[in-house]
Amino acid sequence: MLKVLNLNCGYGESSVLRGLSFELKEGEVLSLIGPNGAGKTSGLLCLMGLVDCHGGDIFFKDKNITSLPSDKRILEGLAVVPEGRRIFPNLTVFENLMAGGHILTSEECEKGILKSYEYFPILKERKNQKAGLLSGGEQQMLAVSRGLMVNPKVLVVDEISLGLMPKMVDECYKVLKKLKDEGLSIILVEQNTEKALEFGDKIIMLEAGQIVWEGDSVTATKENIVQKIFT
Amino acid sequence: MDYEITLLTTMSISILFALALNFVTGLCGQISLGHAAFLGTGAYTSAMMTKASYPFLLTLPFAALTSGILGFFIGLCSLRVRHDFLAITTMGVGFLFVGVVRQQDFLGGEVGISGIPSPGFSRFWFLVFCLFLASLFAFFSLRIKKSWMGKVFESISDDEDVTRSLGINVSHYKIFAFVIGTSVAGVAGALYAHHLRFIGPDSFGFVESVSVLAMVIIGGVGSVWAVSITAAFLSVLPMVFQFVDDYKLLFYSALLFFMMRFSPEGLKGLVEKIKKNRKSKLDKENKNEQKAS
Ligand SMILES: Nc1ncnc2c1ncn2[C@@H]1O[C@H](COP(=O)(O)OP(=O)(O)OP(=O)(O)O)[C@@H](O)[C@H]1O
Ligand SMILES: [Mg+2]
Repeated sequence: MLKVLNLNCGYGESSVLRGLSFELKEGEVLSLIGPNGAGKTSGLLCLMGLVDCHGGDIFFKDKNITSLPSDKRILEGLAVVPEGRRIFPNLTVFENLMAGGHILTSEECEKGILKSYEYFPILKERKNQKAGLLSGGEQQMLAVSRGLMVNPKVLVVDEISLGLMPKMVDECYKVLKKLKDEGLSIILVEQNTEKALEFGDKIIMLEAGQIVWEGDSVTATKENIVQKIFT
Repeated sequence: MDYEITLLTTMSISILFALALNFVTGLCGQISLGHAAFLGTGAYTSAMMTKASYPFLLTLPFAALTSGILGFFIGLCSLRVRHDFLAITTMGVGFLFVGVVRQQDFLGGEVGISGIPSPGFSRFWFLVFCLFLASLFAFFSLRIKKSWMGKVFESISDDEDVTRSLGINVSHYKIFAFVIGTSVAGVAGALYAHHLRFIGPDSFGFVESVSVLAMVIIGGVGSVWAVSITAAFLSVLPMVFQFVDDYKLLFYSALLFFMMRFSPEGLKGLVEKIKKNRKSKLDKENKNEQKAS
């Protein structure tokens, strides 16, 4: 589905991520973990075409999309749920979802919105409320739904559990699990290592812009990771 | 009566100009600190044309066109620079405009253009025409604001990066906002030139850019009604009070400062706050009464 080869990225002259490679199959989950400033967010944004790519290749469904602008990548089937939610606070819940489906026809858009309401019934209740007035957890649900509007093949999710209480986190993960079972591939950035190990089929650990450890859900035990962090 | 007509005409032209800036800054979140340059471009275009004895109405589309073309290029700049840098860039455009016009003999240089012909209708009908254009654009702005495009503008002004990450072509929208906001400023400039019958480089300097920005911000960024009312009010102040005219920059800057300090959402925000306070007070009283009874 998605294949990344030796990806380098950065801002202007400075390089913040070097040599990221991985392959993601349909319905697979890749967890990216690592300390603050490791370059996780930058890597995701580079996948989306929002941060300069300094080298390497990104193949999506065997097509090289490295130089495609971000709106074209979304049409191909990539979507992102950005770090820190970043919903549009002055638009209503409904309008936020519409913004997510901006590139779709109005019928597809309607379908997408109904689907979001199905996943997160609370959004239906709040549909005409300004998104800025939602609770943190509801905002996160809205951010996920907004990303899902385009019916992507690969969803890139950045720190979904940031600032949420455990119950909310579980709720969000329940939906991600459902999506995964439906065949969606997910790239997850997560500070909550436990969740990342539990949910990820593949795990990549980044530090200072480089892969320092990678493995699958079998080899990645908590001890393994902790050991890696502290040695 | 003549005096009132002059006052009202000034108001209508200012409303049109302020709404033009509101389209860029209020709806789409792109600051312009040199909007007077677009007013000037339209004014000079139209004045030169009527002086060459083209009919006034015919000059309006050309005023819109020249300003709009200039606005298109500034729009392109807005794709590269943002926020404070965009403010500085547009401010630079404002200074550049005045600087260039001063040097051009065919534009009247320092002295400007005087003896601009009458627009061809009486002062009263000219007022009606200005009012008509201002209302038309107010209506258009309101429609856009409610429309799907207005929502995209809002999301760009909220969070440009995320809007882009949703696959929305932010550049197109920004350029569109600039082109509309500047070509309408050009039309306002054409009206301005034929209202005063005299224009000079100083009519379109930094002070004018700041005053119009003050109208938009003091009114309440984005709100068509609040911006119109503020523009109407602020535009005639210098005509009524001499001291405001003498210390224009100081006056508008002070107003801006106090507004930013005490009600960043402008008069619109202030009114909403007062409404809310009153409502919560009423609620409280109601509760107290209920308790008492
Ligand atoms: N817009 C930017 N311009 C320049 N440098 C940036 C920018 N954003 C991030 N960086 C730098 O890139 C590096 C990686 O940042 P990034 O946000 O990708 O880390 P992260 O792994 O997502 O961290 P966190 O866990 O805190 O979210 C950091 O050193 C940061 O300072
Ligand atoms: Mg991050």
